Amino acid sequence: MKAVRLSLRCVPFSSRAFWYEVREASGLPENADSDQVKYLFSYLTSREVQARTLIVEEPYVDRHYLEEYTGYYASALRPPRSKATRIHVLSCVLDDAELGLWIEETKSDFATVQSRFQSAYLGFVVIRPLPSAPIGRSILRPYKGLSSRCFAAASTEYRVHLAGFELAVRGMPFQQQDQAVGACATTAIWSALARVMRADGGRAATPLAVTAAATKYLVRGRALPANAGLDLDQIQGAVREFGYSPYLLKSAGDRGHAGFTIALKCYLRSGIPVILRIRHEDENDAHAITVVGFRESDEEEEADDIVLRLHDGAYELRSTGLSRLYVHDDRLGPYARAVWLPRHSNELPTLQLKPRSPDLEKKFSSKATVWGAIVPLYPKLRLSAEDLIAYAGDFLPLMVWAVGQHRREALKVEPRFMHGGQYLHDLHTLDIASSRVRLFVTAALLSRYVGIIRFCLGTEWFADVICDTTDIRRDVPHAAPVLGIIPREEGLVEAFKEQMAALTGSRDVTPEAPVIV
Amino acid sequence: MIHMTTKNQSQPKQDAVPATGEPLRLTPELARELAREGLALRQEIQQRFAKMQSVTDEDLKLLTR
Repeated sequence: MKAVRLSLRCVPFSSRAFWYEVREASGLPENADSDQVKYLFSYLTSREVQARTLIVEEPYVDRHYLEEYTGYYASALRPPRSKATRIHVLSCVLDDAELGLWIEETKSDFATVQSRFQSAYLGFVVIRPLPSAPIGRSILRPYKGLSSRCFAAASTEYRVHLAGFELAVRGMPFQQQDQAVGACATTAIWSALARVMRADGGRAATPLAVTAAATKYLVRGRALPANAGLDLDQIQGAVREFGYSPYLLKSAGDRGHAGFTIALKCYLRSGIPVILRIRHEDENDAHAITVVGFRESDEEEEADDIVLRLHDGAYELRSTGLSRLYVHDDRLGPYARAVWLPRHSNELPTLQLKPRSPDLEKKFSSKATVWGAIVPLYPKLRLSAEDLIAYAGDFLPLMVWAVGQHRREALKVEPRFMHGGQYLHDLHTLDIASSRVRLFVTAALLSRYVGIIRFCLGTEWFADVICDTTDIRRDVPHAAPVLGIIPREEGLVEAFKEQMAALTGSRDVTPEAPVIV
Repeated sequence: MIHMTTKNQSQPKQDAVPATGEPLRLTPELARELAREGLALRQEIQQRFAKMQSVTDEDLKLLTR
């Protein structure tokens, strides 16, 4: 067979150049538009990304597109090419000559050139040779620069090989829906699974594999082409087929919204993406998007605290409010901004996308009702976010007592799930005496994933209650499955011991007793 | 020690302000009272979430395209 040479070209980043390269690689006609391309250009020009150079790598063998090709396009009379084009994005100015010099420089100092390349690397966009759906698997760095943003669910590290360099980019894969092989829900599931499967050491599923999984037991219309859409059972079936446990979280109007939002935030902070089923006001069918991050209230974008009012207002379980969600919407693009809209009592919550580009903002401004969420959970993570929030209730009166009246309004609850080993690792950087760290890490037996009920005073950490996640909530014994408690103030340790004794009805120091340091 | 009430709470309750290095005393009686209140709060939260778990026919039929 004839050998094919690789082409690597540096192109100065501009609207014209970006559109030209996408059109060349995909066959998108001059007179055809693409919202995703428009969005990507807008994202790459944003203040916090600031792309300067594109490196066009052609041909590129993309496993995800290749499976779409072999599973569907190969049997078409007029198939597209089997190979794609990959466009790398850099934040520095670089031309062909300079890239050549960088490569030659490696002989004397590889580490310096690698580091220079890495610091400018923003990610890549795969362009499929499909004029109707050009944007293939794309991994771009999310916005950064603000501590109020959380992109834990988009923090998977991808290793990219380019001209002998190994570059890393942290993000979550995005791609445009290609109706031939997947519905919008397929793309949302694919993005979410890519995160959780890689985080657990596996290989990400391809869109075709997700479609096959979703239609394995229940098919509406034809499996391929996949334009029949997916229902709730199919979405859950697809998640289950890859070894994950689909957890359904229903949205609710009125008082339920606070609980839903805290649970959503809990999963996102835990690095677990959430698939939202939404319905735009002007559409009959639903749409699926993947929530990958959020922005908490800060000086620039304020948001009210999320408040669960309990006991007719006698207690408040508060969490810092969210000014934005960041979503992968296959109709628009990655890390698209969305905001909650004000609601009337008992209405389901509504979201609105807020793309930066004015014409996209106009096109995507319709309200979307949130019907519910599907969370792909590690199977042994049996305790849910709602359970964790409910267990926070157990400790709320004690915390209110401990922080005192003058700081009560600042008491926040930020629940999350963490890898047990990671929690112990992070403990070394918490603001407590090293002797207490030693006591905890040498005595606490943690589950693979632990549930952390983190109480904060404003943004300052106040106390952690560490829970076992490998069992469901039980009514008997009624006490929370606490493995350990760590208050910031050492003076609270005895109070916590007393509280645990009151909750469990036992003062025994047994191997099963929580480690309170 | 100062007296406080939780928001709208009718029963005044002793509270503790963490004083650096000084252990805070929580009497067994107060601990039991706080635990009882905590349990009631947890049950209230659980009941609210339970209402959010019921899947309707409409949920099942809704197609995402």
